[in-house]
Amino acid sequence: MSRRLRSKTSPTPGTTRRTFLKQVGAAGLAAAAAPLVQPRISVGAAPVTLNLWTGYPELEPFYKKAGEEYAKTHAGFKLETLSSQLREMEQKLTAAIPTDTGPDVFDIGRNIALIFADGGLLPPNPPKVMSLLKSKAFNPVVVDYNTYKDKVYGIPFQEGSKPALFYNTKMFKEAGLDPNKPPATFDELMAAARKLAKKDASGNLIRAGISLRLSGQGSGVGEKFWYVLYAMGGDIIVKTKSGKWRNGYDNEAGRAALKFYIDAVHKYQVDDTKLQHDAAAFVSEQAAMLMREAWVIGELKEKGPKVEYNTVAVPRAKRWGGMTQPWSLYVSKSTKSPDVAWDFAQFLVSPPMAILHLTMTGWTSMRDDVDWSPILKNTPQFKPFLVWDKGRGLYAEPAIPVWDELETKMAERLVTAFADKSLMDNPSGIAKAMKDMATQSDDLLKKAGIYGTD
Amino acid sequence: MVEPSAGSLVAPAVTLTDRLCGLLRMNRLKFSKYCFCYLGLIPVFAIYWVLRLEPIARTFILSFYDWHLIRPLKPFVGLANYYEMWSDDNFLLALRNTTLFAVFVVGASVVLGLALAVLLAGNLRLTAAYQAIYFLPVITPMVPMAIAWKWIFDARYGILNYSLSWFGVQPIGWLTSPDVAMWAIIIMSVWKVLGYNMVLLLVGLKNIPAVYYEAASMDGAAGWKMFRRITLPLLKPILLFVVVISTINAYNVFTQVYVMTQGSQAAPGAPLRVLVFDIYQNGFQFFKMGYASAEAVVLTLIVLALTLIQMRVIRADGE
Amino acid sequence: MAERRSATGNGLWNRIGTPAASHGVLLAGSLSMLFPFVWMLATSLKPADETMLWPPRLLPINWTAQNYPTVLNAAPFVRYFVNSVIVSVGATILVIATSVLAGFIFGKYEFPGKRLLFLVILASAMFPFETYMIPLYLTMKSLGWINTYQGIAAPYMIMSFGIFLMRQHIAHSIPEDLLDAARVDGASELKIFLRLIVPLCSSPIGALGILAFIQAWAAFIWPLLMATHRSMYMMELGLSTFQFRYTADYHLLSAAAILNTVPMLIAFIILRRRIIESVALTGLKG
Repeated sequence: MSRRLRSKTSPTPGTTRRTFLKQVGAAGLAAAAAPLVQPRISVGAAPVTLNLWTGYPELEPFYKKAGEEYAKTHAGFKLETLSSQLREMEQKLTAAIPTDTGPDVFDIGRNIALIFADGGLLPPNPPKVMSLLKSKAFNPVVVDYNTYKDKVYGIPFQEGSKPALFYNTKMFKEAGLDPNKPPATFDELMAAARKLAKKDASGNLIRAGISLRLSGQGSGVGEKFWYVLYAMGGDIIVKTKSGKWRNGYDNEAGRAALKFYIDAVHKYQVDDTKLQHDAAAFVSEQAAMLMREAWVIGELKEKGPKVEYNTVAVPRAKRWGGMTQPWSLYVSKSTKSPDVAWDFAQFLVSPPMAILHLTMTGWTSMRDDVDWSPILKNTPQFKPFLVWDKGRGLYAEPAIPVWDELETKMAERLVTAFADKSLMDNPSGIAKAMKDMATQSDDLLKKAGIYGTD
Repeated sequence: MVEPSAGSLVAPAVTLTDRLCGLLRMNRLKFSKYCFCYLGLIPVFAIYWVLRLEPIARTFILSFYDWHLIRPLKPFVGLANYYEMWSDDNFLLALRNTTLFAVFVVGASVVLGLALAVLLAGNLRLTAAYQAIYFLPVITPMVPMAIAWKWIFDARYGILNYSLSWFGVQPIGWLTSPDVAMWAIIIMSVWKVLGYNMVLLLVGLKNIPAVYYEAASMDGAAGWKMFRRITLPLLKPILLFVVVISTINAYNVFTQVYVMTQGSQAAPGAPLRVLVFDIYQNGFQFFKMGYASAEAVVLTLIVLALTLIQMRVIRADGE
Repeated sequence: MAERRSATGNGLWNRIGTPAASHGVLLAGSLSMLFPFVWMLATSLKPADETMLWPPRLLPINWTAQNYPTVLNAAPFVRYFVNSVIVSVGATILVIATSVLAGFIFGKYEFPGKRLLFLVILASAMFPFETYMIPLYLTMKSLGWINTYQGIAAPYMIMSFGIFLMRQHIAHSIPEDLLDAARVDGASELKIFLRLIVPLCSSPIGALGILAFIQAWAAFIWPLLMATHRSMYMMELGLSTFQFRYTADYHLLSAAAILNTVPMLIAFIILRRRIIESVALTGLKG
């Protein structure tokens, strides 16, 4: 919202994010518009107003624009949007959906959607949507993500959590590293981080070699830990042959992953909890490297235009892969116009809208069949997010209701472990920490009745 | 017994009211008093019922169920939720943290608020300006304030550490070090409510009639003695009010902890876990509404007990 | 006659010395009260690329007032403001009305069940709102009050603290003789209430009014739950427009926060003056 208006009214010099995205968007739209001219089915003559709620305030301008586009070919269509912070929107939907006071279309995290599905409050996808999902447009892992008890819910709309490695090319050159040969393995990553970390006269770290997620509320710490864990060969929970679940990290992989963090913080001191973290740190150049999602590109354009950086896929160890966390659009059970709602939701993920989505908000679509080349020409840093290398795996969180609690409780223990200096060069200490953590995870699985070892 | 003066206003109602009075065995005055009381309280309690009592009662009943917000199966489990609480590490930690928090925040904000109110009560000039300044934190929205405080507390460049460095103090990780994080929130919370307490206590101070001071100073009392013997006792009603309110608000702390740690990538989780956060997490993140309700009931009982103790200790005369 | 009435009599003042010492302390405190606010104000005058500077700077390099018009255009803040005023004023009026009435009844009367009823009122204030929010929402739905002013104002229409405050004030500052005198003159209880008590409570009513107003104005989660359409949003909700998934437009957020705070500050300043005046005028004390 602010970005759209700033380009019209702001006197600030330089390329704002909005202007840059606008340039890219113009190119993209032109390219994508060509195959668009298809006959659209007019859904009845009666005027329809859809209510759309979103937990991403930055998406609201995109939704509004998409609504206007849709109205061009559907007379009488009007879109009303409402947005709020994610957690608050979750609460709002939790109050509204069961009482039929909710919207027609909404986007929400899968954990909440699953709970609605579980309670029979969410309709499964109609056949027309399913044929789109089963087509080449979507990766089977993504469709699987939305599957619960053999039914598929929601249209995957936006990538919530696909990371890549951001690295500051200027700092690379200064440290004697080749910015065109970024770290490809976790060992190389640690080596680079050690060269990039900077200390002041009294030995305090003033620039992180790599900014890791060491603390914070929620399950984020666990999610970021999984990037490393996956590469080392482990997973948070694994499915057994009989369809039950057990922890996947009380093993070599889990211990190696924890060791990576302990070494980073305590042994080689390339990161420190006292420093600024995350995107803010990368934007203000307090961190040389960061593993994060595509939205950071937009942040850099707007708030750190002078930062010289590039991106590359997350490094490998025993395995190479990245996470996907599709954010989906859902149609509510109580909507008065289900046909229009589903049609509009499908429209929102169509290729031209996908390009508009990226250019307006910096968040990427889930579709595999969009031609991104005009955007990549302008901003090559989007490449590791949009173009998936062969041999790179794709993994996603399992669709079980207790997942959020499991990952959150694991995250809490990880935070304590990361701060524990005694784990440095202490394999048995690390093993114990992981074992206790795994026991807690297994307990939660047992309580949910889905634990099994075969 | 005081008889209302004879007048035509009174005459028509006499028979009915007298009969009722006779029935209830009370005089007219008492009767009219009782009427006023109960009739006056009816609208008040009607509103209370709809807006507070009924929802709270529902939540209370909820605490005896394994009530998952959306799942259809909601079995009655009696006291199971309550038993689970006492072996739940998170809950016990939250209890400990919140109590620590409350003790310090109430103590500091009431004592400092009183000190400031005393200074202002001395008919100082610019009182209105000072009150407005001290009240500013109270009315400013929490979110932008939390952001400002994150900067103030920053370990490397925050103004707090910078000021402390003049005294030779090493940089402290206010929001990142588990030992110190709670103190950072305490400082911020005292900052936020200080003005509130100060304003209320000032109202109380100003309502103490000058006569008392005059009488006491004629007996030779002054300074601290005057404060202890005259001011404090006469301030008890408002003081009790302020202490009780502060306690309730302290135990219900949530927003600032939530805001300062939700968005923060570096805040320690465990030391800042407070009761309402635990309730919120269990209820709205894990959807265990029955368990969350039980926690809320326990929280309420604790605060109620504390309030009753405070009322006894401060003993506002009479009641 | 005492030259300067103070909580410690004249003695302590003489010992400390002068108003200068008091001012010193108060000023030091004021600085710490104001600093975060100053930071917010400064940030609201910065362009976007200055919000994430490291090391952080207090003052902008390129001052800009552009954020304010941007904020006002970004969302219908005028509408939000009107909504906030309607809801807050409505809630405040009801809080004052119920608190003074109930405070009077509990403060100056004895009747069977009084203790219990008062305890119920107190206890209900200790229950965290977040927990009974959902049952209350269900009640609102059955009343058809979702997305209405009365629905949004509902939880803020009553304030146990208000009743408590009024009760304390009435019980200890209004002599029983006054009431008895009025009764002798033939006044009904209701008349006593309206003609005698209410005017005598102007000071705490002012204080309570402010507190009730602030509580309603600063409300966030309840208005969010209740509003199903933008047109019913309140100002505090408008702030969330500038907070995104992982970041925020701090410069716009700060400008919006200033816009949100200033009306309340003005209201406070106006009301505070009135209270101080009424206290000074009150000759009934002593």
